[in-house]
Amino acid sequence: MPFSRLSEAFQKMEVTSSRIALTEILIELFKQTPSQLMDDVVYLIQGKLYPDFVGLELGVGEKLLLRAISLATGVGPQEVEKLYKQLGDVGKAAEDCEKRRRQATLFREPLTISRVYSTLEKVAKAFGEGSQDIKIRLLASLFNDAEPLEARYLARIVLGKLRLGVADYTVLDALAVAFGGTKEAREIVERAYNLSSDLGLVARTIAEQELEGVKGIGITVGRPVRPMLAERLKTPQEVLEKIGGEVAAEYKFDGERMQVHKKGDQVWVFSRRLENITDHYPDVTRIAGDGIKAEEVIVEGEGVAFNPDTGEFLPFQELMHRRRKYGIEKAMEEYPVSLYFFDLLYLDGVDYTQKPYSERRRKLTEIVEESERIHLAPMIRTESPDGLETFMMEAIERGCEGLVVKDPGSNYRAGAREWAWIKLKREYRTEMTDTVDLVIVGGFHGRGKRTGVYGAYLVAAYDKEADMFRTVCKVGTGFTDEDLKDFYEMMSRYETDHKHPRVDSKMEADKWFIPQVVIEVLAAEITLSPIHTAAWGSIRSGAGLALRFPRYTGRLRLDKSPEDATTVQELIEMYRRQTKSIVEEEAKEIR
Amino acid sequence: MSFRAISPTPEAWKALADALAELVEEAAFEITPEGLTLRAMDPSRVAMVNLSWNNLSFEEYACESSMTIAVRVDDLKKVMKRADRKDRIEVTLGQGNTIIFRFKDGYEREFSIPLVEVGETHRPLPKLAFNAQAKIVQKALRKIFEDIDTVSDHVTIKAQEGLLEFLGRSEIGQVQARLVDSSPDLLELAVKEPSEATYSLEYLVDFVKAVKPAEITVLEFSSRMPVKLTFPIDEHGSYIEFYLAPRVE
Repeated sequence: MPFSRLSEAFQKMEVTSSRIALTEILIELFKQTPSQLMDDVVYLIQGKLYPDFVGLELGVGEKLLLRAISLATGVGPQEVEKLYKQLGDVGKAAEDCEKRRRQATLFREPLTISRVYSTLEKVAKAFGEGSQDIKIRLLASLFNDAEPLEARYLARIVLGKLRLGVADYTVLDALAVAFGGTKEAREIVERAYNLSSDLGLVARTIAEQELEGVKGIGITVGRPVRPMLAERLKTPQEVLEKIGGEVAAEYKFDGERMQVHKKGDQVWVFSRRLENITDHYPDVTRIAGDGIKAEEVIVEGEGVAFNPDTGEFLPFQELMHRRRKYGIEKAMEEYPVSLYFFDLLYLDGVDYTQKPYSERRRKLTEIVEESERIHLAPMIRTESPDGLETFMMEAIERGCEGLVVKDPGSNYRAGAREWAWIKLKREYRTEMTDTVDLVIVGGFHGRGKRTGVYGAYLVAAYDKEADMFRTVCKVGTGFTDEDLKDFYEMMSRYETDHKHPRVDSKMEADKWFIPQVVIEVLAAEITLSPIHTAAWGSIRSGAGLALRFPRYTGRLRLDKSPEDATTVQELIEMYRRQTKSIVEEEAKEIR
Repeated sequence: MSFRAISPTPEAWKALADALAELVEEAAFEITPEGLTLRAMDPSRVAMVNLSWNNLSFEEYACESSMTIAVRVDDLKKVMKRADRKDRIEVTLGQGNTIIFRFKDGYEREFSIPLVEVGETHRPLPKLAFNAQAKIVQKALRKIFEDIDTVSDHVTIKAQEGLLEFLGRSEIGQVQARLVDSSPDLLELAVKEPSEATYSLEYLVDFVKAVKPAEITVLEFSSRMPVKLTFPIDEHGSYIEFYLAPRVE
């Protein structure tokens, strides 16, 4: 099939703004496409060569492309660049260069879709020394034979700027109509796409084997399944009403959702957007390879960065340090990742997406061997709003975003956003801008580099009315190695073998101290907490106040007595004054 | 698979390596009992080389059965750089998919380079009819192209009865070279129809420079059509041809 057929369709698509018209153009095109070319055509329509999870890109920059165009057309390099600057669109520039062609060729062969596709494939696969030259030559060979209109789209595809606005679902619509024509056909193609994440595969299968063939497309290890997504509600009450009866609630971590595939020794990691991120997470690959006891399996979980010295979770932004091209080893040490698995999609030949949550979770528990870096996402089963509320506060205090509440009887609906999964996030957040002065009341033994000293301290605010010290957080971040040694020595003077009577704590420390030492702490927010006792019951019953992401500022307040520390009353005041509605905040960001 | 070809000097091999270097990355030779042939086209399909090297041109030539082999031009060029003008050169195929070049002048050196997979299959030559044909002393043609290269990156060739003109023009200036019937450098000129065409010097200069051993060049072209340059390698009928597509004016 000539490439001109595709570029003519592109031209029509480019000028239409109606989705119906777009679908019509696609249907027409699909009907004319030989079945063995269907996958190539579908990828090219979306300006790609492969489904995203393959992760192979053309690796051609503007400069390289312009050189190839110049070489092929005989239009001087400066002139090509000038045209590009003037027109602001590489496609239009390439088209113009074809029209101004200065150099004839010895042979001319019209472009075919398969030649364009296979040549671009060679461009993508050229690596290493001399690969730039090879890429230029390959591209030039295409532009040599390209008609002006073909050159326009070719250039855009090469730079990833085709942008015809053809959504996955539009392609599915068109496929269903072109090869089935029924509502049922639409459901079948969508299902196949959700399980394979590969539009090209679905397209070629339907063209070659009709709907029956598409029904046979299932989950394959090494090819991501489109993830099930959650709806969102505001309160535990609403969530419980929506699902009805007992629910399963899991921590919603502030990390990166990962779909981990394992087949024998090979492990793949895919992002929520189906990119292959295996290379960014060699540690995840290793941990998951060891910790998942199954031959062939697909599990889903959240990768969460943590502070290797304290074990505390780090916010999502820190995890993004891992998405780099170079220095992955170093990033891996600075931002190690723990895995919290929450779902099982496939196990040794059995498609678990068709099984209810309860069964998936049970099987997941069996095959995941928990250790320091690999866990199951904490989960409770409850019917009560209070139960959800408390679990959510606990999650948030540990650095999570909230909860994902699931219907225990629901299947895994790949690619769907439905009410079987509901996100429950906080409605408010209280940003902290000021530091607070807190009293050290307990200590926790350090691990790893912090073995032999305390790795974190339990700190408390002063309750003036009751003359008590009530806990607000565990703090381990911000201490230098020297601090840790000095503190260990200093605190030995205040050790007691039981919790001090003036200390109110629900948390068990490894070592208790007489309230004496005051340190300055800065935190991201104040949150409600079911664990810490400061301001217990004064904002909400069954909850106290705690600090989220606390850090020692390095200021030891020897000048302050424990009674001079920040008071519980002050914390309540801060909480009330600085509470912001998250909805308002997000609205502001959008604006 | 056995093949052996001995030449008294490495000249032709050197010329071939140089000529190909600007054009392609890999070169595929067809080896038959009758001789060696090669066709190579640059990726932008602007220029093409056609080599016909018959067995009579060699001091010794042996080939049992026909085959196609390919080498990287870079490899070939590196080896040929090491050959001295007085070296006898023996070419054979070696163990493990290699080609061996043995240079002999007093002592013997042996270079072995890997064969690579044969890419493109033998392609046809462009079918062309020419309205102008000139036989020119190779050295003169080389000088003319280099002269014009000083002001322009392309040359316009004009042929009419009794006159062959070469023109280069740019904002830098203008260069003009004329060969008339009586010029000692123009051995023959046959013009069926007055012709004029323009060609990029990018390939021409390097190519004509590369095939030094040829003493004369046959230049053939028509208006707005490709030019063909034929360089006889020796008196046994072996030659290298060069095709170049015109510029569009």
